[in-house]
Order: sequence, then structure tokens, then C-alpha cells
Amino acid sequence: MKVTGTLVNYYFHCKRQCWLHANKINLEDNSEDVRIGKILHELRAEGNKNSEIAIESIKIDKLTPDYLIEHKKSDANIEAAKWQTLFYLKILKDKGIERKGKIQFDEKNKQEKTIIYVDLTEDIEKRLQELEQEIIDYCSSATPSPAILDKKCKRCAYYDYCYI
Amino acid sequence: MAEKKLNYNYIFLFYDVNELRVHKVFKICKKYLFHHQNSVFRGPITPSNIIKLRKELATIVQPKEDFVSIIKVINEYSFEEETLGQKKKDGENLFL
Amino acid sequence: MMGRSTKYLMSMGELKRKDHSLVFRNDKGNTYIPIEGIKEIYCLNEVSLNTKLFQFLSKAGVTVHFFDYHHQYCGTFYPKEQLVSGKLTVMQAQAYMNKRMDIAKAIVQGIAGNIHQVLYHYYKHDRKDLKPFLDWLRKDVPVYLAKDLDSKQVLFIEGEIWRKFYTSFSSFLPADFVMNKRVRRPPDNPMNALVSLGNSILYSKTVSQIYQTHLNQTISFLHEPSESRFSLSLDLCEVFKPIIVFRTIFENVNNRKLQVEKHFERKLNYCLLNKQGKEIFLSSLEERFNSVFQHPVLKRKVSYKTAIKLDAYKLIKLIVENKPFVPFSVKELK
Repeated sequence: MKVTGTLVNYYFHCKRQCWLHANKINLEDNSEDVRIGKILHELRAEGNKNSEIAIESIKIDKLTPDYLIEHKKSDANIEAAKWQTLFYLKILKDKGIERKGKIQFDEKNKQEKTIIYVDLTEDIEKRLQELEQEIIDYCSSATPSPAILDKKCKRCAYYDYCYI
Repeated sequence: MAEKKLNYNYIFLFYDVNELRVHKVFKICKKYLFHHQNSVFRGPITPSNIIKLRKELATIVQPKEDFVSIIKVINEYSFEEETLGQKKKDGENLFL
Repeated sequence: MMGRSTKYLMSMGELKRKDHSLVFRNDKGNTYIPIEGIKEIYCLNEVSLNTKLFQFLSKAGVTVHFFDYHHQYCGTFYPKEQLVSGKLTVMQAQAYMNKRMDIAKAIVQGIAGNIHQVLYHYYKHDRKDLKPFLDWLRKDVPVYLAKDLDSKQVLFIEGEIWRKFYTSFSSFLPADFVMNKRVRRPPDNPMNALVSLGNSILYSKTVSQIYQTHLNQTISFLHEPSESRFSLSLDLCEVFKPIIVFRTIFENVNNRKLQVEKHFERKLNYCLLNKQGKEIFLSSLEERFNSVFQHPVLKRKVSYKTAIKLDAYKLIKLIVENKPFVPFSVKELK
């Protein structure tokens, strides 16, 4: 199993979603929000050509001489976005490309800033290493954790499956 | 870019474009909507497809010469229709 | 102006790909069908199609269902699956080995419950002779199903439920629509014609709904997996028959929207709906698929068509998370 940025993000956002996605019971196709996100992403990508870069199992929105830039539609889950970006930074670093992380939010609901900066430290790198194993172990377990109804679930592509 | 309100699910699209581009606009519209009458399309559509349609049209339409108008409504029950004469296009029918 | 995700091709013609979209051509001219949003096409007449079209439909994930002259289901163009989960397929096969009877019994119980609900309406409206059958459904069926049964025995109970159900029609339908026996290929009287067409449409819809999930269409539980290519559809459509197909039939017949003299073609050995009859029946069927109810668990509006997909989700949940499978029941709805 290969850990991807999406899985890291889901792991922080919702473990259950992470498990289902990793076991290919992916339900993103159901979600109009996901579709809108995809199109906005494409529009942005066309604006600045050759911006999206795929390295191994990860896809990076944009790479500048100083920054790796990750776009997010909203700041609904900053923690998840941070770890996803840090995960990308580490993979780049392992390839000999060192950058700082910059996360841009299209909509800010929870906080004041539209841009957040993140950077690798020794501790974070160590944590990422453990994290990768944690995610692999969790997703290889027989069943996902049960659904816990939360406000965030209402808009999730997995809502119907989780609550039915 | 993204509009704040994304929950329109039915649109009317009117176009008045240079002859050179008419058929191109027509081709794009018929992927998403039903041909209603000359230069008019309409039909149910998802918010994401409205963005896609707009994006496709923007590559064809010349802002100085052309005019495309999109009226968005919440759903197909939020308007009433009256007809005089005979409607020739039956693409909207369940049966063909 | 109903929906746009479904089209019924009722006249002879040619369905083609044109400029990244669809066109249906016949002597009436060109009719454009927008590709975005269309999910299913039903061919109920002679329609010509070519490989270029199939490649295009495959990319768009559109299923096409074919019916023969007698309105019998012939098959489905089933595009390459987009949603596949090896893990789920393995687990679905394990569920077949370990939980087959639980699932089969749940489905049969679901059929009994939904038939009960549909008939109770007539019982309340003074069809008191339905009482013995209603009691049998409510009291006896659960007792039979609680026993230790093999798949043949479960299918036998299912057969009994349907047989008694067909016999009950004489209590609340006009005499010319009463059905003594289910005759399939080809149907021999108006009621059999309606049931045949209605059931095949429901079956096709179920195929299309399962297509939108990760379930394997061939591994079924109530029916033998060898029964048809999409035998899981046979399973999952059962509980919806009373609510979708039969309710629509009863309503059309009792409101005299469908009449034997006006809407059927009777030949020596078979009986079919005529063009007008088909349009009346299929559009009311389609209307029912698209009608919505407030879902008690999801707390939002859900259509009957989506309810079929939700039953597929419930099955996944049993397979993956061991949550008891309780198929759709009208009883839960207000």
C-alpha cells in the first residue's frame, strides 16, 4: 500500500474516510462539492501552465523556487491540510528538493488568514515517518472505525454510506 | 472564479454571437442543455457543470462582439411556462 | 420536462455520437440529447448504434438497456466499471459463504413487509377479505423465516408470498386486470404484460444503481449467483417491486388511466401494451422512481431510485462492517 497526500489528509480529517478510501471504497464521485473542487482546480492549473507536478504517488499543486503551494477550497480542516503539505515536503526533501510549504485557502471561515506557512523540522520528519506506518497499519485493519455523527459529516461524500 | 452561491440547478441560456461562432456555441450548449428554440437552450444542470459550460463558452465567445446571457434558477419547478403555437424540439421528452 | 438522467427510445431510429454529445435520428429529424447528466438509455424499439457511440457512452458511464419486441429485457450495455474494490469483492464472496441465508431472509422479509404495506391501504378502504393474507404476511412469514432454512426453502417462501399476492388482486382490482398466474414469456394477459414490463424496468434501474457502487453484480444471495449476469440486481430489486412496480400498476388501473380496451394489443397467444399504454405506464413509473421522501435516518430528501442505491450501501455495510442488513421498508417513512 502506498500512502498518498489524500490519505494523510483524510487520516486527520476522518479516519473512517481514510480507511474506506484506502480500500478503494471511494465515494468522491457522489459529491458535487468534490466535482466543483476539481473544476476550480483545473481552471487554476490552466491559468499557470505546467503548475501541477506528479511525483511518485503524490500530486503537487504548484512549486516555486521557494515554496510548495497547496490550494484548498476552504479552511475547514487546517490540521489535515498542514500534515498533507508537510508530507509532500518530506517526499520532496527525500528527493533532494527542499522547499517551504504554503497553503492557500479560497474561503476562510474559521480564521483570519488565507495563507498559512509550514516547514519541516526534525521532530515533524520523525512524526511523519511514524505517521506513514500508522496509516498503513490502520488501513490494513479488518474494518474501519464506526461512524461518529459530526457537523462536518453533512457535506461529506461518504455521508450516505456512513449513516444509512 | 467560484461564485458564493452554487445551488442553481436549472438554467436558461440565450446567445447572440457572430455568425462565425454560432455553430461552436451551439455545439457546446447541446452537451449540457436542451435546444429550446433558435439561440436558446435550457435545462437542468449541476452547479459544477455550470462552471464547466461557462469555461468552455469563454474560450469561444469574443467579449467585444458577442453576448451570452445565462439565467439561473433553483430548479425546474421554480418557473412557470406558457406556450403559444407548436414546440418543435422534443429533446426534453422522456420518450423519443 | 421530467428529469434528464433517463431517456426511453420508443421509436425506430439511430442513436449516434455527434460533436461530443448525443443525437437521436429518425424520420422526425434530429433530436439532441445532452451527454452531461444522462445516466441511462432504454431502447424499446429498433435502434441502431455503433462502436464509436459505445466508446463515448463508456467514457461517460452511461448504461444502455435493451428490450425485445415483447418488452422482454435482453441485456445491458455495461461500461467498464469505474468503481472496483478488490477488498470488497473478496469480502462479498466471503459474505456469500457465511451470511448468505441472513441476507436472503432479510430480503424475503422485506418483500413481505412491503406487500403488507401496499395491501393494507386497500384493507383500510373496505377490502376486508384481504385480512387472512395480511395476517399471514405479518405473523406467519416471520415465523417461517426464523427457522433454520436452506436457500431452496427461502426461495419457496418467497414464491408463496408472490403467489398469494397475485391471487389477492381479485379483491381490489377490476375483473379484467385480475391475474391468476404469472406468465412471463410472452405475457398472456394485460396484468402480466404490466408486471413483465414494470419488473424489467426496475431490474434495469437496479443494475444502473449498483453500477454506481463498488458491489460485484454477479455475487447474489437470495438468487443463485449463476442465475444471470447481474444476479445481485435480482436480489436488490425484490423489495422495491411492491412499492414501485405494483403501486404504479394499481394506481393506473384503479384510476382507469390504463384500460384493457384502449391500451393493450391482444394477439392469439400474448398480450402487450400499445404505444399509448407504454407511455402512460412508463412515465408514471419514472415519476415514482424520481419522487422523493424525507429519509428518516439521513434526514434529507431521497428519491426511490436513490433508495435502491442506499440498499446497496447497506449491503456493503453488512459485508464490510457486519451491520445487519435491513432492506428498504415503506413502513419507516411518513
